[in-house]
Amino acid sequence: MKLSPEQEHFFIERIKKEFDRPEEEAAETVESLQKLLYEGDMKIVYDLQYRVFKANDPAYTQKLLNFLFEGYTYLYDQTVERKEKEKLGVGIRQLFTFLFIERCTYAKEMEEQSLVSQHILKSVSDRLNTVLKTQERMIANLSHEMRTSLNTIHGYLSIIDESKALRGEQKFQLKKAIHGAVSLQSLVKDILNITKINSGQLEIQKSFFDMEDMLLQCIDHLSIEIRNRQRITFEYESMFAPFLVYGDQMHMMEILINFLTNAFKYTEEGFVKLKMTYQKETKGIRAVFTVSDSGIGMTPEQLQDVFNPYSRYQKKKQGLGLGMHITKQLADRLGGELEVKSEPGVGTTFSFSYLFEKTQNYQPDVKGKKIYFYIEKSMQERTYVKEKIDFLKYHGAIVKTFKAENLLINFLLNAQKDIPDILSVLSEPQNYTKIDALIYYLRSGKRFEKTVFLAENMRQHLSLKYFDDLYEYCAPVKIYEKLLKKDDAQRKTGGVGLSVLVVDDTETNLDIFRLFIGKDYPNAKVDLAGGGYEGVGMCKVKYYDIIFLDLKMPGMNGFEVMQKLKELNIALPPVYAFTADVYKSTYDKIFEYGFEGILEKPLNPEHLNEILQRITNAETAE
Amino acid sequence: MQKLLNETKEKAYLFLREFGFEEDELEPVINKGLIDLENAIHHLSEVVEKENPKDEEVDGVLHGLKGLLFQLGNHDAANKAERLRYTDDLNEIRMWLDSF
Repeated sequence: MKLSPEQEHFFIERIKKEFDRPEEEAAETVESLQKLLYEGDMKIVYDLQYRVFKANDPAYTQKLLNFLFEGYTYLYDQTVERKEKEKLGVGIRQLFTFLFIERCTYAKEMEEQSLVSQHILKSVSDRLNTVLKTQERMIANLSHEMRTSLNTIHGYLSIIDESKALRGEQKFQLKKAIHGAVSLQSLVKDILNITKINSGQLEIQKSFFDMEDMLLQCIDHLSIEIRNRQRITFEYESMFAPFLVYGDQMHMMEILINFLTNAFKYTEEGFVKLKMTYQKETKGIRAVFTVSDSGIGMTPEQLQDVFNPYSRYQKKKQGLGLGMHITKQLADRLGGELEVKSEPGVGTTFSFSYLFEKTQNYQPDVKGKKIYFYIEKSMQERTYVKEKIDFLKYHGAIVKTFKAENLLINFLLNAQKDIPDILSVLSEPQNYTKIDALIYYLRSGKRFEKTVFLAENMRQHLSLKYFDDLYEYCAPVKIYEKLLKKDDAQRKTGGVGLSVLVVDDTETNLDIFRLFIGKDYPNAKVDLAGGGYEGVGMCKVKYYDIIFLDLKMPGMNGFEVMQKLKELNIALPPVYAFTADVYKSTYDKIFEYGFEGILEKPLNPEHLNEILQRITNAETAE
Repeated sequence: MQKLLNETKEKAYLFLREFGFEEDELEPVINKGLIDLENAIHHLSEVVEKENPKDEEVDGVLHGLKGLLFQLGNHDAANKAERLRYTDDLNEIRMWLDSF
């Protein structure tokens, strides 16, 4: 049995048309089809099966199905004999079975295999995650433990350093040990951070905060570096920002501190500058924090690598090279943008830009408060200062500005009724000490006692004793309200400028004393003397509102100190004996020597507060 | 000595926390206090090991130690130090020192 020439022609034409095959190939296919139908040769089945598999295209399969169905119907209609029809039926069934049913079975098997593979993969992945989590937890715990121990080591080393017990070579070795502990602390902090980020434990905690305040905190964090690196000038510039922004202050600070640390690390001399600008956008306020330096800079290749982990580009510098990687991860988590520009030998600028969608206008409660400024010439035209003064005026503060030093001094020496609530000084660095001494003079004469003296924009660390608050840069505007509130609170408790001297030979007792007084009288000035001679010396140069005196000290004991104080011919404040000797004989002797009373050891904060309250009440009554 | 230091550290936190201070405020004070305590005990050991220590010197060191222990909240040890100020037997002080 064989296809007739018409039938062959029919199939060849259909194949050419439907499958876009050349004549010769179509003829070969028809030949193979014929062999399957009449001789049982399975070659065409495998060929077609392969083509269906290779094409993996439902449209092709559909076309093939249509062709086979049409072809079968055509042949079936033309076949007369029953036996031939049956043979035709067998061939076509084989073709359908191989082409479609087998494919379905194969697909099903593949699906099952895929499910098994997925199951295996999932179980492997779960186990891997468990191992990784355990490792991360282990690293986190280990780092935490290390951090705690390192804090203790650093704490003890600092205590030894502060005690000035070591000198010369030993002091040098101690400094090295402190430096090592600080470096290790920083490494452990980095490891903890990266572990938290990788394990998704980094919590974003948003709240309203003051951007300027945040920047000053960052500067405080680097204060030792800023002070010690004398060949680097540190500059800070911020736009006046009288509003609060809603964001994750802690992690933003971490980003900026990393910028600053990096800048100091790679700058030998020149400058490091921290700058903040902002602009209003439709969705909120976009702030840009920039740290630029005049350091060694980076090549374009190093720049590409800067946010990758372990990318320290000077191996002699300390650290794992994780800082900038952590910074990038943090910035991504916060939703901010990082940018870096650098040129070898010129310097680097890192910036972090963030859109604060929620902000809150700051409305200070300064209405009717007198806030006076002394502003030296170079500061008078600064936009920041002008905007701050306008803002305070807008909110009802009575603002007066002295533009020359002699005008300020004249005012301070002659003012009778026009007493400001705050007097803020923005001067040349050398003038602050002079004004500090003037404040002492004024207060000794019980003048300007209720004025808060604020030193702003000192541009360097100055050891001023009588200013009430010190800022190396311009103070954020909310500081004024804070100072006024503090002052009000002090007036209520009568604690303005309370000055306390504690004399005890045990340093811990002094520390605990300071801790207890600071709790309820945060503005009290507490001086500590480690012995009788020191205590008497301090009373010679400064007037105290109250003195607490330990009775049993090596050298000069408390009674002898009291005797000396009486001989000094100064106005003696109330002196309290600070003692654990609560015997009647001691009591008698105490009053005999002219002590005001006894404060027993261990120190009881309630008793201490009663005494301080008594002193402050007496002062207010005066 | 470690026993007394550990015990005092624990008591100091309990004692000072009662006044409403946070752990981080107390940590530096207590750490420094423990160093003072260690020094005071060393000092006492040195004094009582001398051949003929002066009563006044022993009394002074014990008095300082008592005050420090009181301030760090270890009142039992402070009372013991106070009692020892009135003993004539240096061995009693040495035994006390050996006990921790």
